[in-house]
Amino acid sequence: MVTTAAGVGDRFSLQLTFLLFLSVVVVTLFTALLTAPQRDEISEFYLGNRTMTPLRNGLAMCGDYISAATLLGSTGLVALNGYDGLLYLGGTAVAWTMVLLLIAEPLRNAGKFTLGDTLALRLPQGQRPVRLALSLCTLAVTTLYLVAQLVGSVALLTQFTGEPSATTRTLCVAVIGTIVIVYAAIGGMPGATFIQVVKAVMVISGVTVTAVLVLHHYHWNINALLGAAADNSGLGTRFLEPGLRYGGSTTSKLDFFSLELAIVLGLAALPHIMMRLLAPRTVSVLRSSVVWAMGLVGLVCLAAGILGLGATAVVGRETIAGTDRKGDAAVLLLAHALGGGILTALLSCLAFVTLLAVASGLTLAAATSLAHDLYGEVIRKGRAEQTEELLVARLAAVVIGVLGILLALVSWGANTATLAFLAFAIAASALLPTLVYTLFWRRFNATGALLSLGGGLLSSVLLVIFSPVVSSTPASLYPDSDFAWFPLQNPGIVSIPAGFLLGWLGTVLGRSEAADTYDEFEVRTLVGAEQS
Amino acid sequence: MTVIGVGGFLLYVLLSSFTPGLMNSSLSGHLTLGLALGLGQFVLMAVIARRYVVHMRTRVDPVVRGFRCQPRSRPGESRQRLTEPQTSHRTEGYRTW
Repeated sequence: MVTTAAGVGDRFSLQLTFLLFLSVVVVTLFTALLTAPQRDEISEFYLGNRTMTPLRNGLAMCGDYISAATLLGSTGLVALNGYDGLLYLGGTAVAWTMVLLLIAEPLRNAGKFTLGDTLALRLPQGQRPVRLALSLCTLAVTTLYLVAQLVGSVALLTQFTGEPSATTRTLCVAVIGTIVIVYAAIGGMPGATFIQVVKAVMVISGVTVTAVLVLHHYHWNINALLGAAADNSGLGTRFLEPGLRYGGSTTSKLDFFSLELAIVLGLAALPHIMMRLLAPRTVSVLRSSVVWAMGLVGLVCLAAGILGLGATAVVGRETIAGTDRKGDAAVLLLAHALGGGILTALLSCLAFVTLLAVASGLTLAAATSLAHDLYGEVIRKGRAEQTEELLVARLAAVVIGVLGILLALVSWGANTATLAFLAFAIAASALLPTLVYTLFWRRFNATGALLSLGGGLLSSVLLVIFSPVVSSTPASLYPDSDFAWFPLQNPGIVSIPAGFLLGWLGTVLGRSEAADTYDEFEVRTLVGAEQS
Repeated sequence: MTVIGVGGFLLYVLLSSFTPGLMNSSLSGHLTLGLALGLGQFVLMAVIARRYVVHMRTRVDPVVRGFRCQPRSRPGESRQRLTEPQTSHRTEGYRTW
């Protein structure tokens, strides 16, 4: 990474960032402690306040979804690659259509705390092995995504201080990780929700204000903005045409398609998003919440696109690529050019808070799955006391957090985006087929669930291991060895159909469920649980 | 409708990858057809969300409300009561999307 000694910010903005970040953390930590579940009830710890308004729910969903990778990484992609980066942002927003139309309402009506509960309702015969497989997949997805967030914090620090020393790096990851653990273990869902809402409001306002500044800079003339971006990119109009990054060969085009597929389909199956969908008490609140979330995410994506184009237009592609090869510095450079040190500090504080919020949501989702599915239902067979399960959930949050910190320290050089995309691919190829079949296919049974969960997980992980990400190219983890026979970096295009196919195969081969289970389940997906 | 929403987007990605000539045809100034279609995705998303909400409110919610008013039978008690309203809701347009 080519970094000048001072990176993006000067001393002033670094100190201001630190101050802002500290105050946000202190305020949210206090609130997390105040709103922490007092009554040792698992429903409060898992789902939080169930009577929130749609707007606040929507903000929390948006907060869970917009990660630092979206904020910094994809604006950087736009700044460096123009059109191809914009496509990526489009996928991020379109994914919510899937959630609203297909998943949200049936899942909430049929579920209780986790996806495992939905599956247990639908597949009562083989529920223990299915829950086991499910929590394994959930753990794989959340841990990968968590490590991606923590590694991202190191990358963000690099923007300010240059290449950090080993001590600084360890300290940074450890501090962020510890705060995350405190949020998740003590605050539970109420605490996590609060920080999500705070963060979503910060992100939306911060990004919108900066986008307005960019537009104002060009006198609200989109054409002038596009023209300036094309001129300063050093590539002319090619900047606004497809294929700058992924257009080299058919392989790279397929690779890009595979990535988009994983993003669009993977979102609906991310465990921490699913937990949010289960929280609202009534279906109508959930519906308006998801519509709010769609609108807000769409707004953030549009603004991020403008930010990316603006960064190229104002700062120039050369400078952005010179500061950080992946383009992560684009937003901060743009902020520095438009608003000086204060705007830079605001936006980088935003990025740190985003990291923190997404990481705590993930830790919580992993802990819920461990405590409820693995401990409560598989090990204790549903006989665990509420206080006992709650204790396990808190302990699990600590364990997951520590695991995330250790893995992040080991793999700090890994590419954040690669880890996140692998998490999306696993979610789309293991969890999504099971979820869709469970909700909509009458004949689906436990064998099918096991095969699609296991097969989706294995196929996506194996394909990545045998891809250029791990070996054979200079940028991969082991550049010296070559066992990459799979040409694409993103396994989605193969592993998602494989997950669906295996689910079908297992169902056809396996023993079918009792005939009336699905009928009751279908009524339940429409009407909702009795206690609600 | 999910197929239209998600499929429309994937089609757009494929189009951009494999037919650059078409997508680069200029509409006005620097705004190419590809960029305009990209914005169109956001509009399409909004339209679909609106249609879905209206559909659920007018077609599905009344049926669900009817369901709620009936005494719910517990699993294993009597299944006749469950199967009867089910056939009725299926004809009334569940899953037309």
